[in-house]
Amino acid sequence: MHTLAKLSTLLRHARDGCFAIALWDDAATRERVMKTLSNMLSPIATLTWTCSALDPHPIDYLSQLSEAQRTERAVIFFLGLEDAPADAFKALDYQRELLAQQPHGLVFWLTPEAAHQLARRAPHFWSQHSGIFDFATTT
Amino acid sequence: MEIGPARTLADAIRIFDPRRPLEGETLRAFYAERGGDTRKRMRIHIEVTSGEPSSMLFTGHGGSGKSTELNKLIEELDKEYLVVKVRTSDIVARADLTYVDVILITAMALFRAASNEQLIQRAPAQIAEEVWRQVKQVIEHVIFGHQPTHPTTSSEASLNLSIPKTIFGLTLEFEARFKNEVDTRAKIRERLRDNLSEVINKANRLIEEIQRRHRLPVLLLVEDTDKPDPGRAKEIFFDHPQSLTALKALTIYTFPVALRYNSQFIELDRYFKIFRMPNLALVHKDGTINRRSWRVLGEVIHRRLDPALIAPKARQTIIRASGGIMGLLIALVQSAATNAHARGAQRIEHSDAMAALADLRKDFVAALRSEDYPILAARYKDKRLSNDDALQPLLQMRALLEYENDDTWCDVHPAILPLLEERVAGFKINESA
Repeated sequence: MHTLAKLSTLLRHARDGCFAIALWDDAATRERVMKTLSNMLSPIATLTWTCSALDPHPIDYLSQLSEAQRTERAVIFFLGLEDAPADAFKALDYQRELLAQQPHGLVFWLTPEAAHQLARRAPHFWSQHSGIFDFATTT
Repeated sequence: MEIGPARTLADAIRIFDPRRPLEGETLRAFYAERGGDTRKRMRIHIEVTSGEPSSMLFTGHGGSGKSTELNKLIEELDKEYLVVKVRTSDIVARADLTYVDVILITAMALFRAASNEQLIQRAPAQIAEEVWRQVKQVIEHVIFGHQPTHPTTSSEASLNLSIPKTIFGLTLEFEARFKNEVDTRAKIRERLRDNLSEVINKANRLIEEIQRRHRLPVLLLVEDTDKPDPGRAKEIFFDHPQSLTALKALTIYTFPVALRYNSQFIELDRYFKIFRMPNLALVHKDGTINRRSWRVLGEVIHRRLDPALIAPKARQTIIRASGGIMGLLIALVQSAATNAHARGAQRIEHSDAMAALADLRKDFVAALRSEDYPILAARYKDKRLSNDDALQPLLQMRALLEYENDDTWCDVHPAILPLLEERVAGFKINESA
């Protein structure tokens, strides 16, 4: 609960475009955490995007948000990056300033192994997160 | 809203943002002098060139505060130069930046800045119409590849005053299309492979005109050229230094610190003046405290945070845990403030700082491999840097920190030391550190 409280506090008060890493290893637990976090953040809206082979880049999703979605503060959960192609992590590294300009709080849900890969492949991006929040069920 | 130190923990979470360099109002409100001389040396170099062309490389490790220092430099020079700030990642959103892109994006940013209505209105004399025509022609025909239109009639000639405005519009169109249209980007790159010199020539003509008519030397600041992966960055800097230095203005490129250790780096001396911004060292190589760095980081916190919001012991813990890395210091304060606010407290206590340090340690656990720990243990012992491939990722993730006080040396990030005690047989933390 303490980890959830910290993440909720960060997302509520940090500036636009702040991003956090949330570690997971069990899909059901992740869903429960996301639902609880959405309730805690209310009335701040939460949006969810899932990486796919056809749509692997978070920045593309962010650039396609409607004007209304961009105007109203929200938190966006990014899922499925474990399955993203190798260049998606590198793109995050290169686009970190574009991400910082986004109006919303961003939470990247990653398995511990994917977090490890991201830290090494996108060190500039990695160095600017506002915290790692561990919701993995096993150490 | 007035910018000032945080008066509440919620403010602190907002103000201590590890992603954003200081600029504009935040630069004026929060900037603390580092005490080093990199910015001063750059300024002196710029001043002694007296507006003559010179290309510079600016490099430093991630989180060292490079972008803030550049913003400070620009603020100091803004009245004496036409400063054109370019961020390549704004236009080329994928990590496939080429040297052609760098020059093209820089030239287009120059065209846009020069055609800005406000600059034109306050200029003591106007740029020759012929120069504007040539710039417009190179954008339309060389860059966009339009076919030449019919010759200007006398009634169209009377619309000459709108040429800068047209150019301004074209630069906006270029930025949008080059960024978003894959085909357009490919075609422009293809056309420019043999025609880049035309773009450079027109940019240089415009630079000369600006200096003559506006009486302002031009300073081009090109950022994010330190971001591409090493292979791509080598192609940009090592294979095409002549092209990068062809623009007849003062030019600063950000340079990837990892390539400093490449054997070809020394050859860049012929083309560029190189400036490095070192990390702040909290200790000297012999382990004694470097009080000046502690004062600087204390000042960084003090300018952004009401002293009543942080216990003195918490502040000391955070400064020590930062390892002298500005970005980490900011992130640690944000993390500690989040911890304090989440438990309903009114100020950051030592326990909040220790929790932030524990979270930072988890960060390193997530990034480090088992084979990294013995390497770090060995560097902790001998403090020796080299261009071994194994050290580069450790420097990039800031597990290993490079310092330049005394001489050039390295040390393990203090947050990792307990991990080395756990995982490397026989490792002991030096108690005097």
